[in-house]
Parts: sequence; C-alpha cells; structure tokens
Amino acid sequence: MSLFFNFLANPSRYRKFAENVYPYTLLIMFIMIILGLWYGLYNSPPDYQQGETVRIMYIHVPAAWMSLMIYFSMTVLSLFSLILKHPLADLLTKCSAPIGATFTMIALVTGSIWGKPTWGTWWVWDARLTSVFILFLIYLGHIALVNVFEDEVKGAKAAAILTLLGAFNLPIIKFSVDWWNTLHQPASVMKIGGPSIHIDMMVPLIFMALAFLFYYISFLLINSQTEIYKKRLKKTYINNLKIHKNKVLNNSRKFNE
Amino acid sequence: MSSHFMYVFSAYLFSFLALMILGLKIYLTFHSYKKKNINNNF
Repeated sequence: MSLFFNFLANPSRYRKFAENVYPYTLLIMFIMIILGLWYGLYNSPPDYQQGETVRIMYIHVPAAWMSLMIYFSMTVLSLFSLILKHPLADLLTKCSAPIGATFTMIALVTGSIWGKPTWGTWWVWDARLTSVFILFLIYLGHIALVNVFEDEVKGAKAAAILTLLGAFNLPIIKFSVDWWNTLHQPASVMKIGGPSIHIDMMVPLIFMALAFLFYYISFLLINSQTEIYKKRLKKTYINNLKIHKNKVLNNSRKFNE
Repeated sequence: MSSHFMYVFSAYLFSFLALMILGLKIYLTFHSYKKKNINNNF
C-alpha cells in the first residue's frame, strides 16, 4: 500500500494513472446509474406507508452516505498532508470538497422534498438535519479557504486544519438520531443487527450508492488532473517570465556597453 | 398519487441536474487546461 502511495507521489506518474483509469470508472458509473434507475423507479415496490415517495430514498440515502464518506476521506488526506506532507494529499482534498458539497446539498434538498409529503414540513431544525447542514457549511468553508490565500501551501494547510476541526461533526451526524429525539428516523441499513429493509428496496439503494461512489472516483481523477495541469502552466509562466527578464537585462547591458 | 409523482420527479431531476452540472464543469475545465498544456509543448 505504501509502495502504491509512493508511486503516486510523482504528479506526472499520478496524472498518467488517472488518465488511464477514469474512462473505466465513468463506464461503471453509467452502468450503475442505469441499473439504479431501473430498480429504483420501475422494479421496486412502493412502501406501504410512504407510497411512491420511498423512491426518493434511493438518491437521498446514497447522497448522504457519500457526503460523510467524502468528508471522512478528506480528514484522512488532511492528516496525510499535515503529518507526512504527501504531495497528492492536498490536491485530492481540494478536488474532493466540491463533489462532497454537491452530495451534501443533494441529501439536504431531496430529504426536504421527501419530508413535505411524509412529515408535512419541508424543514425542521432537528439534530440530524442541522448537523448535516453544518457539514455543508464546512464544505463551503473549505472551498473558500483553499482559494482565499495567494500562497497555495498556506491555503492547503489552513484548509487541512479546518477539515480536521470539522471532523468532530461526523460522529454527531451518525449518532444524532440515537442521542436525541429527532424527527429523522434512526438508521435502517448501517446498524448493529443488520439492515431492516426489504431486499427489493436494498438492491436499488446499493446500485445508486455504487453509482455515486464511482461518480466521486471518476470526477476526483479528472479534477486532480486539472490541478496538475494548472500547476504546470503556472510553473511555465514563471519560467518564461524569468527567461524574458534575463533577455531584457542582457539587451540593456549590451546597449550600455 | 400524482402529487407524489411530482415530489419524486423533482427530487430526481434536481439531483441529476446538480451532478450533471458539476460533472460538466469539471470535465470542460479539464479539457481546456489539457489543451493549454498541449499548446505549451508538454
């Protein structure tokens, strides 16, 4: 594993690896989306209480899982960045944040759309909803913080510290439904004793979760290549400026002689 | 039933639009930078 991380520490090598892998992950993502939509919208029964609105769960729940998973991976990457100073860690954290923020927004909006017919309200400030909303704000804060510094290294360091500080929110989100009396129902898939939902509803949930996971992997690989290209362009621009400056100095020296 | 359809439809539409917009933004930025890098003889 450490050999693999060392192999990817070289940006050119990583870019080539990402360029070769992302078409396959995109293909898997499209297959999973088609299967997820087929099972979610057509080949699964309506719920006996929620009716057809249960189909919203097939995007709401995987989006919520992804928002937590991406933040957790950003936390691990931030540790890598601060302790091991791995060159890829900052890059991947920066590229993960917009994708994580989008999944969190989807979880919040689809949950709200589901809440109206089921709970009779679009929004309540209960522990689960509020903590997920805070997660969304942390994602936005991370995106802003990375871009606010002129020095990229300083920005990445500040963003890594923010990510580590924000990680306290993850157990609060997960266990908020157990610790407090919330309108949001407790876990029904990831819980001790196994999932309590029917296999017909489990299948579209898993396909959609895989589709979202491969969406994350694919666009992380693409986005990180863009960052590498940006850095290279910046480097070339600075080198060209230096060459130009030297030429101008030489010419003025010749002129003076 | 029809009102339930609208809730499901709007949830799916919103989610896939959001993912599509982000995906397109990332992909188009990637292509433009790749082109710039090729033009700079990398």
